[in-house]
Amino acid sequence: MKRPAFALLAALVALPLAAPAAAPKPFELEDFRSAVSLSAPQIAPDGKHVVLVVRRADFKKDTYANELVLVDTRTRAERVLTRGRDDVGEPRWSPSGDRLAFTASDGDHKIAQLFVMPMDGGDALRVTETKEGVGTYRWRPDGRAFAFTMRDPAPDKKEIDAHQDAFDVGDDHWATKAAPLPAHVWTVDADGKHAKRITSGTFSVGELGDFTRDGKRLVYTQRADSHFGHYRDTRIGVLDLASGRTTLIAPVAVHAASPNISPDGTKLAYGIEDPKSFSQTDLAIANLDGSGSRIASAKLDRNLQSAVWRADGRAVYIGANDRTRAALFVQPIDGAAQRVHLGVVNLSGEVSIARDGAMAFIGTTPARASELYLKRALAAAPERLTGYNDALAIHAIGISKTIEWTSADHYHLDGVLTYPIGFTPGKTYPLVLDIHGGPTATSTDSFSALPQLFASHGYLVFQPNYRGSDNLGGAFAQATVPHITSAPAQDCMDGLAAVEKLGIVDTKRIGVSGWSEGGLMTSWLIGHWHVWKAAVSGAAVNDWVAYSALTDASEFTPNFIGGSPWTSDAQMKLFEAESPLTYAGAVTTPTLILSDTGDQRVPTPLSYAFYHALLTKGTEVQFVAFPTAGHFPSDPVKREDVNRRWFAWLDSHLR
Amino acid sequence: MKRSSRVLFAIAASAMLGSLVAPAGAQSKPLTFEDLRRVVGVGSPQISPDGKRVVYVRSTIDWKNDRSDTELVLVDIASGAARTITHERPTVFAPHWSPSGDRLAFESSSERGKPVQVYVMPMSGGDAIKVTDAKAGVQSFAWRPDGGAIAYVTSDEAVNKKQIDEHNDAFVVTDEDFLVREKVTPSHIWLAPAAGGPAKRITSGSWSIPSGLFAAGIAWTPDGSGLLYAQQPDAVAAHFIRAQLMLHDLATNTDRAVASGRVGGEPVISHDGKSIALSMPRHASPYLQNDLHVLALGDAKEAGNSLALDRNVHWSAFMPGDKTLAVATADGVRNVLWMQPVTGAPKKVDLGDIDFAPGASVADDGGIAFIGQSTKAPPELYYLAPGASAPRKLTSENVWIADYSVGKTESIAWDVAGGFQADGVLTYPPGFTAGKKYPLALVIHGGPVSTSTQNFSGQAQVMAARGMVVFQPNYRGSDNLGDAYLNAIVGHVTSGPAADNLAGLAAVEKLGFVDEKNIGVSGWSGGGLQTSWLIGHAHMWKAAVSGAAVNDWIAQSTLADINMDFGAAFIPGPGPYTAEGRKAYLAESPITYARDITTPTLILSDTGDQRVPIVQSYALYHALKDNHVPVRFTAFPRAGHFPGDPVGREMAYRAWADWFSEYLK
Repeated sequence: MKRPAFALLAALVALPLAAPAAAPKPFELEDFRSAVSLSAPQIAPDGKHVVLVVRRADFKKDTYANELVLVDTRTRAERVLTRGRDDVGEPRWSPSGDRLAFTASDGDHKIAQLFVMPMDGGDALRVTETKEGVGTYRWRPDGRAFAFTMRDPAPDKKEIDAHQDAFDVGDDHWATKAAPLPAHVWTVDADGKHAKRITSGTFSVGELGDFTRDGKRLVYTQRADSHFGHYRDTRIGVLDLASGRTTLIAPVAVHAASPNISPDGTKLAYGIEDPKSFSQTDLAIANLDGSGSRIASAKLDRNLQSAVWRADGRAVYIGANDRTRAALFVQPIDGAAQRVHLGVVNLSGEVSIARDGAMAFIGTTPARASELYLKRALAAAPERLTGYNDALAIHAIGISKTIEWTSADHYHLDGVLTYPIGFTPGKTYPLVLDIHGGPTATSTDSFSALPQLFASHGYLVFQPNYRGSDNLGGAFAQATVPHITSAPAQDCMDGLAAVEKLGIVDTKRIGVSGWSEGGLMTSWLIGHWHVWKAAVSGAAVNDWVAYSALTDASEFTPNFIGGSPWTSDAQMKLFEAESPLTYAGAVTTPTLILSDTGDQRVPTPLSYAFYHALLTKGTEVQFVAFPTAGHFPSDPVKREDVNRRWFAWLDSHLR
Repeated sequence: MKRSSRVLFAIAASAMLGSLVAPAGAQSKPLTFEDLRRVVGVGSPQISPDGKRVVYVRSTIDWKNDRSDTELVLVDIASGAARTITHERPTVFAPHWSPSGDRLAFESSSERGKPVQVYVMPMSGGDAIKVTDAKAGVQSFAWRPDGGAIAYVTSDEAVNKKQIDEHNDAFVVTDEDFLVREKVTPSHIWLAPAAGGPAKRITSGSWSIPSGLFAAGIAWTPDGSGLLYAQQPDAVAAHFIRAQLMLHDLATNTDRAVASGRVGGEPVISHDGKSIALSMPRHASPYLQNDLHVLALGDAKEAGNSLALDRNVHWSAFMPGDKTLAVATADGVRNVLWMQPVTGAPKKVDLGDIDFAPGASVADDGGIAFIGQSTKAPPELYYLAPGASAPRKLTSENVWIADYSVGKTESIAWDVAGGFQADGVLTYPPGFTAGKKYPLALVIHGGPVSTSTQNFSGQAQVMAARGMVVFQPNYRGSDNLGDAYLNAIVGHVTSGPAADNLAGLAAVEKLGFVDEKNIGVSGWSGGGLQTSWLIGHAHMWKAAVSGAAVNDWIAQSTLADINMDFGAAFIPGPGPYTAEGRKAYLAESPITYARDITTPTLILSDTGDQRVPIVQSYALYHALKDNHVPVRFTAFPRAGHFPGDPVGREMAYRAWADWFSEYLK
């Protein structure tokens, strides 16, 4: 489960890539082109195979291509299952393991459809023929049907086709070009027959959970409407498929997520907003009728990223950040959670569990990019089954370690420090701050491309987990309210002081950088301190007032800063006081501003404002725009270009 | 010469007041928006050099395909006989007679959406020849005086085209607007044989001829030795206002500034080739009043100007003999034609009840073809014979409107601060009865350098047909009363005009027919700015429609295609990113006072408006919604400052009128 706000940043900026110890060659930017990313591992019910999505970049076509790969858990033999289905995703074994379902575009219309592949040979059958594309899906426990989600067609499609396409704007982002539409639940037989709509209305279906064992009911998350910004207004519904009626288990809007029914069919586990910290998701467990609902992970006090029932139905595996690790916990229905031993492996995504309890997952380590791991038993060490990123392993990698410090208000913070290749104690090195986005995210001690690129070129890289990060519990995540900028910025400065105390930093050569909330930090830090030689401010929230009107995450500022800036002078002052733009006149640091042209999350206009402010001041500034939609470029060429420009700007000023 | 005034927010004015009209005749049906789909547009009149024929662009609406279809129509002046001379061309525009009148060149494309090229049609029969093959399309062109070639303007290929093709398409932003997705490349002059054949590049460099929305034309010297063009320092759209007039000498391949150090729009050259007429800013900025200056082409010595005429110049041309210029301007609530001697006092030409639209054409004998506007019907093509006192109507494209009842329009004047007397236009519902009370709808023009005239406005007429009186005030900043009035807006870009508009409303109320409980205020662009401001400062409004409004001068100056220079023209002093400037910009921004708004408001905007960025509408929307004021924000998923397609245009006007129909009862 993902918070929508800024969370994608951590994943993007910390693109996990790794290399074995013996290789002396430093990284150049192009070396990362060979990086393979892995996701969505699904272990077969009998535990003999894992299927996963393998993604590679094609720099010539500027696209990514996916394939499904089957890995034998005993022999580790790999076999590619799909051909020419470049956007294949979401593989799921049939309940008996005889077939594999997945989503992929159909050839003619490029619309995502659901396919079923027999695992004893034969073409995959396209099960759906939807006009709007399949969102997500689940097997019915008898293996004879599916539930899936699909966005509704526009109710005024006829008018729109006749160019009468004006629409009423709600809590939508500045680049919106049509009214958002709700998604709903459909069912279809596994042979492609009898597609049928089950739900309808102005509410929208988010995630699908499991069917009950009798296949008569289905859990899902229900969003109050189709405006993305209303993400907190999400509840858990149990849908009776025969009548189409939904019973809301979580009757209050609580940003519910990840509903899962226990293997014995008696309990429901789901994510729910922490009562004291809207930035944290806790694990709730309830009976299927909603009774007995309670928060099970209160003591664990970590932000739930994923929740998967243990095979015995008496505990739930929770993925959550913990200090500088992406950790796995096992949370019993009653009692204290235990950290699951993963060695140096960080969990990426959610675990997949076979009937016998064997667990497959994608993991990264400080020295190795993402690979498939298998944990055959709870006590066993994770085994690496694949070597997709061996090509990166020929390079020398910067060693990373966790740095800790204490804030004036007694939080015990941490961050990751990556050392330059060939680091020699006693010498000093230029330092680059690489600040994560979110703020609900964490820089973990995992292989990451940009820090390694800097490390290869003689830089120290510091990634601080400022307050608002989700690695230290709900209170810490919430401690950024309402001083969304100034409070975390102080944490970053405290962290920098802790790093400087190590005596290895050339304090005349420090650069600061980040994307999204990390860009916000950067824009703020250069307006308040003058220790920087250069800065890279990517997709930065430079102005909270404009942000609140233009972002797709329209609940973000009401949560983090409080009421609308237009409702009182005090609110307007607070919004302005926390906005880097207010202090842009003090910036003297040479700054590179980066933004997508169509960023709906942190609207591009905020970068224009900061650019003109620095220009007015006469500060050295360059503003580079990437002509693409989204909060970060999604194609390999532009992604690489972001890193190229980011590195080049800092390197040319710090060298 | 095309219109040289920098009417930047005026799209609303022209879109609104554009080609829509009705004669007084048979009173039967009330006018609706559907009816206006029948309006036939007439434009781009070009009179043949011998003064015997006129070609014009006729446009009709293809509602189903949501587009305007255009064709060229040739009219014989003596007989009035007209015939269509282009067929099945997706778009046709910019006709230009060859210097001898034997051929007609025009711009068109082989397929809809394909780059526009120049075609030359023999007027003695035969297929038109495509004479250009510009990859990026032709922006403007001019016949060489000997008729043997055509000079045209097209934009260069991107320097980094190879990288862009490889998806490495990031670009450095400077003064671009917030919707820009690639760097605009420089536009340069090329020469193509009029009979077809390979073209030759004439100019090159990182500088550019103004392009896109600010495209400027080029002109030959009569001896064919040189080309006059406007040169801006780079290709950034906003920098068109820094353009200087240049002369390119073809023999030596050199360029020189014609009037060094003075900015000015596209050139008008005299028949003898010795003088140019150039529209130049009266004050620091071309965004304010522009006067006509006649300069010697050789040494730039000024021979005369239109300072005494004192109106913002929309169009001009040398009359035969070069002693006099025909000049089009707004004047009061009318669009008029002046005869301005190079030295001496201007004289307004009495055209009776016909108004003179900019963009006319003068024949060698001094005959003038122009688009004539009237209060009662959509525009038609007119001809003013040399020495004649009354114009003659050459077309009857919009006679259908005789079946409809059309509301009467009237001008009204009132005193405003600074000793000015402002004016405006009232449009009455058909069948208006004295003594009765009527809801009143203010429809405030954009610009601000623009004018609401008394001429037929489809929007005003439909609103009047729905029973409202429509009031269109010409607040300070309008270009209908001279420089002092126009320039009085500077330093008070929002508050100054708002006071004028409120005073205008008071003057209208004195007429006694206004139902004071049912007053709506509305406008697009600069008129939206006024609307957003007026609802934050006064509370007599029953409803408001704020279209493409400048709600925040800082955002406007940061994000618009005309960005910093435009704001600076109207809010002098340090820019918005200084403490002092920020204060001044915020003081004149409606968003600063949005918390005081209580009026039910409809917000309208194109999603891709580069002129007044939609983000300002988002801000106003949230300010109203968060304070629980009834608000609706309807967006049109289109590029541009106002929907350019027939369906989009009607949707905008309809949403606007419907909001008032719902609230003003």
